[in-house]
Amino acid sequence: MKHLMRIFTGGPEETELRGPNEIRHPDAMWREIFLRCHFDDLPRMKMVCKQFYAVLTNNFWKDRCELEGIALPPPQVVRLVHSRNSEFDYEYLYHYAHKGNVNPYGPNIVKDLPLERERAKEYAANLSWITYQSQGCTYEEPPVGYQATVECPNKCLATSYNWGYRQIVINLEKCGVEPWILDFLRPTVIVEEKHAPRHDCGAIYKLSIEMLRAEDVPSHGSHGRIRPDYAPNQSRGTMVEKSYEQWAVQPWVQESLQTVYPCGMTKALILTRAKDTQFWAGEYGMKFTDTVVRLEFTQEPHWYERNEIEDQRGDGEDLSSSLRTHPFRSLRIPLFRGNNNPYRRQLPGPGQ
Amino acid sequence: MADAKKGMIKISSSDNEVYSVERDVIRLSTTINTLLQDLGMDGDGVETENADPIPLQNVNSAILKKVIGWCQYHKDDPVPAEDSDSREKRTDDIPSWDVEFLKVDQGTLFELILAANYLDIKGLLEVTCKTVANMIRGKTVEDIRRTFNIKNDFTPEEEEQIRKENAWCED
Repeated sequence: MKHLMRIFTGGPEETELRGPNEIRHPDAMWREIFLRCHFDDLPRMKMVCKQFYAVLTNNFWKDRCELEGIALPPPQVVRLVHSRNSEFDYEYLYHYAHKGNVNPYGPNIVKDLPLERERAKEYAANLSWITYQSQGCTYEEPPVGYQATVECPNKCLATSYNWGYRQIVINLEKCGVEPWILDFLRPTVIVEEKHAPRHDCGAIYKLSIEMLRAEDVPSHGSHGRIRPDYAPNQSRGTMVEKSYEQWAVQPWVQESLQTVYPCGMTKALILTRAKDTQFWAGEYGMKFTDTVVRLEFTQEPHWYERNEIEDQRGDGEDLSSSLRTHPFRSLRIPLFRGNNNPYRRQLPGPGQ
Repeated sequence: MADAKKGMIKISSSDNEVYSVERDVIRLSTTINTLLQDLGMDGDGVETENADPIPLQNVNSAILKKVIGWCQYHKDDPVPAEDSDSREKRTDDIPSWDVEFLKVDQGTLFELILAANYLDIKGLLEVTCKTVANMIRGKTVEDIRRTFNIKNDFTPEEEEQIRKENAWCED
């Protein structure tokens, strides 16, 4: 019967007349319109009048994310952030996710990254959140050199007798992850990738992830040359190394790396290196495919307090600089949202 | 001739005009559809002819006539599939019949949005809002105020503050 009641007692607020020729339409109506507006038009809408400004709340951006399939941070993290009198900035998330065509809290950040070198370069060139480099990796569809009994992915990159590599650097801030999230909540960055040697040749494979600060340049080499002995800084990353003998008939294996990291990181460097161990001409080296990069929050996420962040200076990192330029810069204080707006932001003070 | 089995539903506008509408037409309104289900007026052969009309206090007769007209044309539309991976909504895909249908004055268009929202008619809400979104597309702030007859109620300081707030998303 609640629907009947709704009909009898009336639904939305009425359009009201305010002075000559001036009509104030309900917020709900503008909200429906703005949900369908072109993204480029919306920043301008905030400048039209106070009503428009007030309609474009954080909650509006949250709905807009959901409408376009942009994943939101998981509920337990949202609850934790609320309990700290703060909240995720969904406009920030929407802006970068939409612009970069990326889903930072989704199942795979690099879902659309092509395997073929030229196409991957083109893909990355158009986006500000990813940089891509590779050398000595040949695209194969389907992968060659596997026995019929081995279950095979339908495409992969194959390496040869010199180290072939592929390097992806993901700027998480530009994917839509606010800087403070990487400092105070530090979601685990997970990298998964499949690899397998040909059955007729031995091969070696290294997969690594290392977190970097905004200003850091990857330390594994320069001028496009990868140092063969590169290993990530252990406080910021991790690596796995696998090698197989000839005739191993090794099935495709998925590696999974998880990394924890200190304050101040913004980028994830993901490096795959592989080759054969018998120095054979042709694509006899390790092959790899199906790369997944995603953020994961634990069921009971931890909020890093400032004193914990200070404590981490012990590991030789100079964190004072990252703390000074530190976060909350994207947390804008709403101007006219008034006391009745539950989403009004209260900024954690510097002492917290 | 209305087929009794098909079921005619009576609805009345805010100015007390009563309309008899086919069950199949009015089912596009989720609000009314749910109401009929709740009242047990849903099944075949249920006598609805003599029931009191459903009062729709927020919709006047001019708008209600338009809404019924839209529902009549769209009653056989397939239910749109829930597209989980839908990216940005397109606004240039309004069917030509709807474009013609929505060539109305701005006041009527807004009232149709409110009626579609209130009666929960998804397709109508979609095309009416998209029509307004298209009117907004690419316009300057001043143009938008002029188009919709909106007064600038910001002080210059407030305007400056918003400009600053917006600066981060320019990069």
